[in-house]
Amino acid sequence: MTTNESEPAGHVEQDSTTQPAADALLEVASIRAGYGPVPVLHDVSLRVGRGEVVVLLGANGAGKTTTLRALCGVVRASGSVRFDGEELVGQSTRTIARRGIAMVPQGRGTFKDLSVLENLAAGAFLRRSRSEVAQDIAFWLETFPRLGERRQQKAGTLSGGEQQMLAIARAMMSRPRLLLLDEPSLGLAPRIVQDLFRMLGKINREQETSMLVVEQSAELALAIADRGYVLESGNTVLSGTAAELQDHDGVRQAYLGV
Amino acid sequence: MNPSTHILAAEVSLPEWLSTVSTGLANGALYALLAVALVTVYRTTGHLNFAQGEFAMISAFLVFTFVGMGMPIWVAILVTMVVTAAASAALQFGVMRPLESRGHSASLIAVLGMFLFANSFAGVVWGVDNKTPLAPFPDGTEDRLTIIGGDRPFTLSFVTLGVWGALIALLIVLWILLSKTKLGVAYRAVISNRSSAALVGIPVAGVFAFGWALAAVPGTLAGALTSQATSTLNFSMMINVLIFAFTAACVGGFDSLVGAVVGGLLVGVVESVVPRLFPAIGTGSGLMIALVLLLVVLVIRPQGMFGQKEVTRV
Amino acid sequence: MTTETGVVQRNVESVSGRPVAEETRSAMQAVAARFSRRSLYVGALGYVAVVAVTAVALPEARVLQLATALAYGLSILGLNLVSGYAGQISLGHSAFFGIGAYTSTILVTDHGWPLLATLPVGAVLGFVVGVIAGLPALRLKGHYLGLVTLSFAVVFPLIITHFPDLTGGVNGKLLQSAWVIPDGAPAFFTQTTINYLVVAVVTGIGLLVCRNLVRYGRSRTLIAIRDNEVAAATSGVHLAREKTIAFASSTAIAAIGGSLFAMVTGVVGPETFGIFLSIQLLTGLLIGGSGTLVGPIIGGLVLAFLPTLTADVVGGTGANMVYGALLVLLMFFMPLGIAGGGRGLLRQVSRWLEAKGRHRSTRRSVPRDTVGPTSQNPCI
Repeated sequence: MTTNESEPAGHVEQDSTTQPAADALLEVASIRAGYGPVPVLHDVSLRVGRGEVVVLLGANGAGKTTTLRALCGVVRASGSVRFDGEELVGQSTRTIARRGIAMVPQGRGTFKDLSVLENLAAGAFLRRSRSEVAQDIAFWLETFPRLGERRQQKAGTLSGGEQQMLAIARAMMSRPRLLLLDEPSLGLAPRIVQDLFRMLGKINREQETSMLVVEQSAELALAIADRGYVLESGNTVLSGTAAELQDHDGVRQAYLGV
Repeated sequence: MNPSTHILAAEVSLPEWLSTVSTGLANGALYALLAVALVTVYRTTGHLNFAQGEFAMISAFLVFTFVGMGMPIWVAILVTMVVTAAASAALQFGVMRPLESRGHSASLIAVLGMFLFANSFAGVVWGVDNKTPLAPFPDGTEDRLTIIGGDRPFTLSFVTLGVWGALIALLIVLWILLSKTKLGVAYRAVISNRSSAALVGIPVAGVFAFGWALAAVPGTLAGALTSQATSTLNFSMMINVLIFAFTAACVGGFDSLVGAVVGGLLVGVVESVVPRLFPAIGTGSGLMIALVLLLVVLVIRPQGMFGQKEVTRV
Repeated sequence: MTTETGVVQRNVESVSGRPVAEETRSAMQAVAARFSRRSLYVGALGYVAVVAVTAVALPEARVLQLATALAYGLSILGLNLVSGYAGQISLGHSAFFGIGAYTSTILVTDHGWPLLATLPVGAVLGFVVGVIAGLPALRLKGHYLGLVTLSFAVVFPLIITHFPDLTGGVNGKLLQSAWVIPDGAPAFFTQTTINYLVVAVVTGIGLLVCRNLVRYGRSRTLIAIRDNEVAAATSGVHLAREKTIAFASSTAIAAIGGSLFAMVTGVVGPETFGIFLSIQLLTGLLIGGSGTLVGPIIGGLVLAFLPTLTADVVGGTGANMVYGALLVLLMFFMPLGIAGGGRGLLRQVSRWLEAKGRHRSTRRSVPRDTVGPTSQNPCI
């Protein structure tokens, strides 16, 4: 099935329920990326199938954020990133957004001076139909009732958890096929994180949005994930289904706090 | 700034005070217009555009030229706004943007270069002598609104009213543009968080150019109305106004449009009132008063009244 | 064995028995030291020769221009201290230029002082005002500093016109002084000639002083401040004091330049010392090459001679168009200026020499004994 040479070094046995490569929404093959002359990613390969939730684990500095940034075109990368058959390496962030990839950046990245409504509207910038945008806004305000209550408030006045929800809703406003999330649990209380991941699971099922979630502490992420990868010093070193990763000793020690 | 409205009477009555304050507010509105331009550029790309006054001056000359070609003055002003906006966007895209990678000083120096060039260019193209001032508003001696009649009257000239009207109209248009249109929201998004704006697909470079283009609107108004208010039209007419506008922006807080307006009006009033309170200072020292105000603000509260960003270093 | 840069190197022995690294390095140092001492002598001799020849050979009008150029050059040298080394853009140096000019004029014309005696007075005044003005200003970030210094440039003509009894107000003031020309002096030896020589001498002294500043520490501190303020502060550099001293020193030098300028041109007026001069001084610095010694002199020459060149093409006021365009183009194509580019070349050559030595050095910069700072960036 997967005969490409970029198979990660440590490969936990493939589960038969894993989707065949041909159907993959996102196919990342051996990308290298960095900031200026300093390379951060040396050889990263991963795959996200349609409707899948994939987790990217790794310690600080492993290159998780850089990977997401490379996928968005914010950081220049070499190698291959195929999204639904189209090559994304070298494309601008705008083009990539148009293709259907949305990112929820680390630290939320909300437009602090804009209201909740305006944040959502900004998320729909690339869309044409104003009525559909309005419908979506109503939908997300309903899905996240706390946002609905604060719709006129400036995003900067929201709590961390609310801003995270806003960031997710904003990203979803562009009706992406793939949602990238960079450490959504960062700085949030455990109970809020639980709610958050429940929401993400729900979005994944109901909107059929594939997700690539970067997380450092991975318990909750793995709970909703189908598969995952482990990144170490800019290389993908491990891959497998969520269950396999949860059982893996190394993963348990490093990322599940066991 | 308009000498005929400065009355140096020993005793000062209410109409005279009103006159002083309204003169201050009229001048202040001009400073506010240019300050809005300065603040718009600063909020968009983080540059202090020292050349903004010269751009406004060239706008005024362009209006003059178009009027000379037969255009009605307000049409000329609108056309000039479009032309200057396009030119400003081009400057941002062609000069400022490539220099971003070379550091802050490079941008500052480029802006100074534009200052020199624009000033000198006007002198070469239109000559160094005074031209007929622009007259967007009727300014005959009878063109006034009488508020208090009698022997010590207080009147407001149509020019004064027009300047205030222009400022208010501009603010309304800006408000509608920035809060009700998609472009405006995109613009504010870029200002708020550049990288997130890129992620949702907003063309950040285009927005930067748009910000500079937007500044040309209040800039053109500032140039045209200053010409009328000061009864001048020459290539050095905006240099002092620029300093007043910078002071206004600093007083109000450089990253706040509201601050620019409030700051402008405040500076105008202070400029008018202080010589009245302390006749020893004498008229014509408005600029020095403004500069004292500038230094005071920068020392005591560098971020101004409404500003938020950091201005001092370690 | 640890080199000066703290890198440990293995001892590779050469034919002479001494480690190659050491031998090459000390040879390099000897060459560099000889080179720098030699460059001092050559430079000084060259300077004296050029001044002497031009004083004799050129028509009086040109000599006047050269004198003006050197006066500008000295001020730009001062500006260099603050913008070239300490990296803070000052748009107010025209005011200090003016302080020197007016101080000398007033003292000479109204109080009969000998001109040379007024130079230190102007310098001290420039220094003191520089301290007062610099203290609030230097706390501010980049463009705000530019704004505040710009306001100095704007204020100065206003203050001048505000005290017409002292300064002659809008009409300006003449500097009336004459050198005593000995009988039997050759025909070319005019007042202008003497003025020129005086300016040349003072500027020469200024160059020497700045050169020593560059070589012996103070400018190293300034460069450290420019390159990374926070790091400089944590390594014990007393920021506020150093920045203020640098600023005030530069304004003092600018004031001396102004005094000389007044001497050469014989007249001062408020409009001469406004914003445009400030920006032009900065332009001169950038064209010539900031962070170098020769650069400011080149800048002064540009300021003195460019208007005559452009007068035919775009008229007197058009000179600013050229300056303006040059400023923008410089930022794109020649941020190091003329002298900076030349020094870059010099550095390439010495690096090539170093590489030729049998030991591959890990040092990235030219040995510290050469003239000029080792950092590339002009004002940043």
